[in-house]
Amino acid sequence: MPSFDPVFWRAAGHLEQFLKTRAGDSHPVTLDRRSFQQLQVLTARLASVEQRDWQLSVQLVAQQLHAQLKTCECQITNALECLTPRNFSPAAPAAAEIYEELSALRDEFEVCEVNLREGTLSVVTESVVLEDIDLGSFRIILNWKAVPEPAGSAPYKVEAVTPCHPDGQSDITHPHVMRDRLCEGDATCTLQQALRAGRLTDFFQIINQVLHTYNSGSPYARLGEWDGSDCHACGASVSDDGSYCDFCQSQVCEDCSSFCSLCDTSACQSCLKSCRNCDSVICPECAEECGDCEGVFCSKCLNPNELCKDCDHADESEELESNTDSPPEESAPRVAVQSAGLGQIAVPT
Amino acid sequence: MEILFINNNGAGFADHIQIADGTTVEQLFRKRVNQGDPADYLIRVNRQPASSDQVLQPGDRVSFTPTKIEGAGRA
Repeated sequence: MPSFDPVFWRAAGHLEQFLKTRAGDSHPVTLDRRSFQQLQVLTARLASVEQRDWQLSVQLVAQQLHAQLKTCECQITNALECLTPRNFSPAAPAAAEIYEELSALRDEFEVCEVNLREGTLSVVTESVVLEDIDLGSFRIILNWKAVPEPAGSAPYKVEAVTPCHPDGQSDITHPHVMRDRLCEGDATCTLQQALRAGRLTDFFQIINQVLHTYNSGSPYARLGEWDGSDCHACGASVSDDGSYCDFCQSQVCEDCSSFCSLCDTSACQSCLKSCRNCDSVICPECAEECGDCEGVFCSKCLNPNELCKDCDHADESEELESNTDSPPEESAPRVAVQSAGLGQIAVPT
Repeated sequence: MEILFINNNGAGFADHIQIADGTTVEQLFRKRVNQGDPADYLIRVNRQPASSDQVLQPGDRVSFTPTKIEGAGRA
C-alpha cells in the first residue's frame, strides 16, 4: 500500500471545496445557442452548394455539418442526462475519495504534481505522435484557484512541454489545442461529468486520449502543416529527420544541403564553398585561400606556394615582363663620346 | 450484486448497475459496449488496470475509457 502523502491530502481538501463550489454554481443543463445557430448556417450552406453542384464544397461543408451535429448531439445528450433525477444534485466527492483519485493518478501518469500555492494539479502525458508526427509531451493543468476563461469552460489548460507549431501558427501546439485550450469535441460531456463527479483519473485520462487522437475532420491545423522545422537556408519545411549542417548546426532541407567533394562532410549551402577553379563543392575546412588573390580554392587547385593557377601564372609573367622591361646593363644605349674633332654623333633621347 | 459502472464513451455517466455473480470484466464489456473492442479501451476496476478474466466483486468500481476520443477545432 502506498505511503500517505500529506501534500496530496491537502490538495484533496482544496479540490473538495472547489468541486462543491462548481456543483453549486453551475446549472446542469447548458446549451450553447451559437452551436445551434451554426448548425442552421451550415445546413443552408450545404443546400446551396448542392444546388450549384460544387462537389468539393459539398464534401467540405458536409464534414463541417457532421462535426457541428456531433457537438449539438453531445449537448442534447448531456442535457437529457442532466435532467434525470440522479444527476440533479450530484454529491460532491469527499476529500478521502479525491485522495484516492490523486493516488491513482500518480499510477497512471509518470509525472503527477500538486502545487498548493498556485492551486494546480498537473500531469504530463507521454509523447504524442499522430500519423508519425511527434508533437512532444503535454502538461495538463487543472487549476482550482483560477477563474476559467471563458466563463463556464473547464478550469484546465493543456501546455506543450516542447511546443511544436504548424507553419506560421505559433498559438497552435496540437491539431485540437489552441492557446493552451483543448477543443474537447466528443469528450465534452464526458469531461464535464468526470470533473463534476470528482473522477480526476478519468478526467485527465480522457484529455490524454483526446490528445492522442487526430480528428482530421475538424482540426485547428491539419497534421500536414506540421512538417517540422523550417529550412535554415530556404525556409521550406523540413521533417525532423532532415539533415543538419556539420558547421553551423542549422537544419536544412535536402535541396539546401550537400557533401564536401574532398572529405564527404555534410553542410548547408551557406557554409559550403565552390572552388573558383574547378567548381567542386568544398566545406569550410577543406577550402583554402589563394595567398595572392584570396579567392577560395580546393587544395588540388593551389600550388605548393598556396597560389592559384592564375596568380601563379601572373607571377611568372610578371617576372618575365620585369625581365624584359629591365634589359641587361650591356644593352643600355650607349652614348659614344668621341674625341673632339672627330665629328658629331646622334645622341639617343 | 451491485457495482458502480462508469462508461466514458459518450456522455460519460456513472451508474450503479446490477450484474450476475461471477461476471468477468470481459462479459461486462461485451454486454455494455456494443461492437467495441476491449483493446480500444482503458479498463479499470477500482482505479486499477484489470485483466479480461477478472471476476467482479460487489461494490466494485468499473470504468471503460476509449483510447480514441476525437477532439475538434474549427466548426
